Amino acid sequence: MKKIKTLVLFCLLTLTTVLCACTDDKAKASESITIGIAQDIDDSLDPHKMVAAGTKEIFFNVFEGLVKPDSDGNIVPAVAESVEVSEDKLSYTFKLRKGIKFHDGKAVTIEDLEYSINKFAGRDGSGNAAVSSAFSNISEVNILSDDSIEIKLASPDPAFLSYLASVEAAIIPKGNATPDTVAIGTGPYKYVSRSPLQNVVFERFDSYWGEGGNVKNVTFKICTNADTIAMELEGGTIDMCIHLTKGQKMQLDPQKFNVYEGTMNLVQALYLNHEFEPFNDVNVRKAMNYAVDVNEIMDYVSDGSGSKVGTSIYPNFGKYFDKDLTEVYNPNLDTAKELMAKSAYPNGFDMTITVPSNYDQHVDTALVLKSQLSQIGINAEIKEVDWETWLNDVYFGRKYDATVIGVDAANLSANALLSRFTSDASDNFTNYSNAAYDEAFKNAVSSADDETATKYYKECAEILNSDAANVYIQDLPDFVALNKKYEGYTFYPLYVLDLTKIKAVQ
Amino acid sequence: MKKIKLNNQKKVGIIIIIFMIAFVLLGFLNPHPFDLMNKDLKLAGPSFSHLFGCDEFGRDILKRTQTGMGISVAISVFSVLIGTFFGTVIGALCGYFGGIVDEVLSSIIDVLFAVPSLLLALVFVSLFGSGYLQVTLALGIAIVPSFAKMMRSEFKKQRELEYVKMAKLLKIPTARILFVHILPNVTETFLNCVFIAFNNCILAEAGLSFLGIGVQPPLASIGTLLSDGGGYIRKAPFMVFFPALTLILLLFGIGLLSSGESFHHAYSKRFKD
Repeated sequence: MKKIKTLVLFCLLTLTTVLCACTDDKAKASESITIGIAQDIDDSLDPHKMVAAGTKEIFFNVFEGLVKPDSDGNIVPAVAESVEVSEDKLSYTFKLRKGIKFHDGKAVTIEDLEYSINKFAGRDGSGNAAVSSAFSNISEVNILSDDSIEIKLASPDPAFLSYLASVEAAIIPKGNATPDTVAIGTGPYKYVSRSPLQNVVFERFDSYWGEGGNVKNVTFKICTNADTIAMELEGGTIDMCIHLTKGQKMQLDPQKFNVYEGTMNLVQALYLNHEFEPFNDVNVRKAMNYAVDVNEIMDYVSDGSGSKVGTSIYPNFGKYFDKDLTEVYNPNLDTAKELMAKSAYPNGFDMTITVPSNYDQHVDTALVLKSQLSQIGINAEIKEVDWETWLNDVYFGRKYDATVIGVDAANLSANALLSRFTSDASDNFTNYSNAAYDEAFKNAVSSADDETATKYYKECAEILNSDAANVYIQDLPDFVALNKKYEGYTFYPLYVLDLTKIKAVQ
Repeated sequence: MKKIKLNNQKKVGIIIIIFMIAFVLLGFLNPHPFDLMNKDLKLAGPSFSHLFGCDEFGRDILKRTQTGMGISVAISVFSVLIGTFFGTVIGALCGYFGGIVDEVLSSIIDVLFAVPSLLLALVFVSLFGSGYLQVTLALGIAIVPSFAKMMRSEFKKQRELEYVKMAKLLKIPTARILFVHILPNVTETFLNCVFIAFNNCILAEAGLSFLGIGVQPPLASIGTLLSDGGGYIRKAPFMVFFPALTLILLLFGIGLLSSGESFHHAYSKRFKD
């Protein structure tokens, strides 16, 4: 009897606690949010050394460069209040924003700017290379006055500002002796702590120069098990999750969650190794493009969401993207069969599609491709490999026939997507080689003004399409689930998560 | 020749296994190809034309389960054959001869034993690539250590018995003593080991395929079916339910067959008669 009494008492107590918790739900929502991320943040905390896209994605809130991207893909001033570009496009003068502070409360000085620029450009004498090859173009960094600094380039680069607008070109304090473990930036959120395989904690930076965040405490919970993410969302241990798969999205209760749909900002394609025999035949490549029905792939892989690309540029690239290119190879089996008959392989051939097994979307895409290609006599075998093997054999080793993967851009310049297809590019994993393409690309890089550069970049994109360099598929859809207690998630044309836009529903 | 007497548990086990074999064989009569996609049947629930429903590509789950079960069982049978053969030979040599042979072989086995068998299979697959041939070999090799250990102790026990000593005195060739005289007397342990290894193989294959390094899509195995279905467990629970049910049934059948009153009695009775 006594036991039952205790039990009843215990239940009542629990109930009261739970009910109490319910009443201040809204107040709590503006105080804190827990966001699920798929991978642990075990990178260096030095923005100039961060490697993983997932790390840079969330540290976008902690670190800022002289300029930063906005959600429309424009480049807006950040640590620098304004920028002046000289007539010859070789000198950039940045004016330091007044009153801007680091997370440790110290004011940002012009020396910090000089230190940071020299550090990420590989000019600080430490022997570290520039974080991006574009920064080796910096020839001089001069302090002009207390609040202005000049960067001189060896040759003009119309995309220079977009390189500066990334986490890897962040401004960090000169006084921080251990940037690897102590993260001090100027962004709207400051880094608080990290527990390996558990979480990463951010807190709103109240002395932020601009319009800061709304939610005070942000916890990133590491959810490495993809199968439990939907359950964690439903159960309320996480309020938000980025990069959901179609399957995870389906499991969510639409009453409780807003699911935002954007794109992943990458070019998913069946990338062909041009050293592999049949793929050096343009007829074969074109036939494959005609045989593949991208709409059908999108139907199977992502319930019809996603956007066609047609070439190595994705739609969020705005001015470089040409929608007409997505319509060039409308599925047509007759044309495909004619082209195959004209090629050296009228009876088809065998090929292997190597695909990293950790990416469901790519494996699923390969499956649909297999069945579509079989219609024109191409017998595709699918070989699933783990990510490490894929990197070693396919990406670096270039020992493969074809692979399904998404290629993303490090920054908002077309260069980031197109440079890999020049004949001698070190990251040209498709072994693509085309003199006309190399010529157009060279013209694009060396053009002095943005308009000419854009024209040539578009020409590059068109060559990739008309030459059927790869079987271009889509920019994959990206799903973000946000508990209805919050609102305001905004997609960027880059791989970043902007916390300042998220706020509690009043 | 006297009939081997079976207890009820084994009878039920045999019935279940016959049922499962029939289930797999009936797959050949199933008109739906296992890799035919159909946009209109994505995640369609069970119906008369698709008894187990359809998966996220609109493929018939019944056919995929039948194919997958066939492949999983085939892989397991061959792995067990490989593992049993080498395990028995090594165990027999160690147990029967003892001394330096035992020392050397046992140390190697001990080293292998220290590595978890799934990890061993993983290493093998990463060295020789994935595919069901590699998986079969890998699982087979992973079975060897535990099998060799069991057989070693059994042969060691038997070595000391009168009939072996007599056989030795009669100058009967060692190979004959090992596999004709001793082996039938360790059948009980032997068969139990085989059944347990078979169970483990099915599960390990499921695990390997789950990790994406077993059979390659669009081919299915029970493991890939379960892992694919896991992602849709709320929306389409039938995707994981039916393959899981068949797997449970099969393992249950094998479990019944290898448990309960052992074969030993049946056999020893035969020997007595």
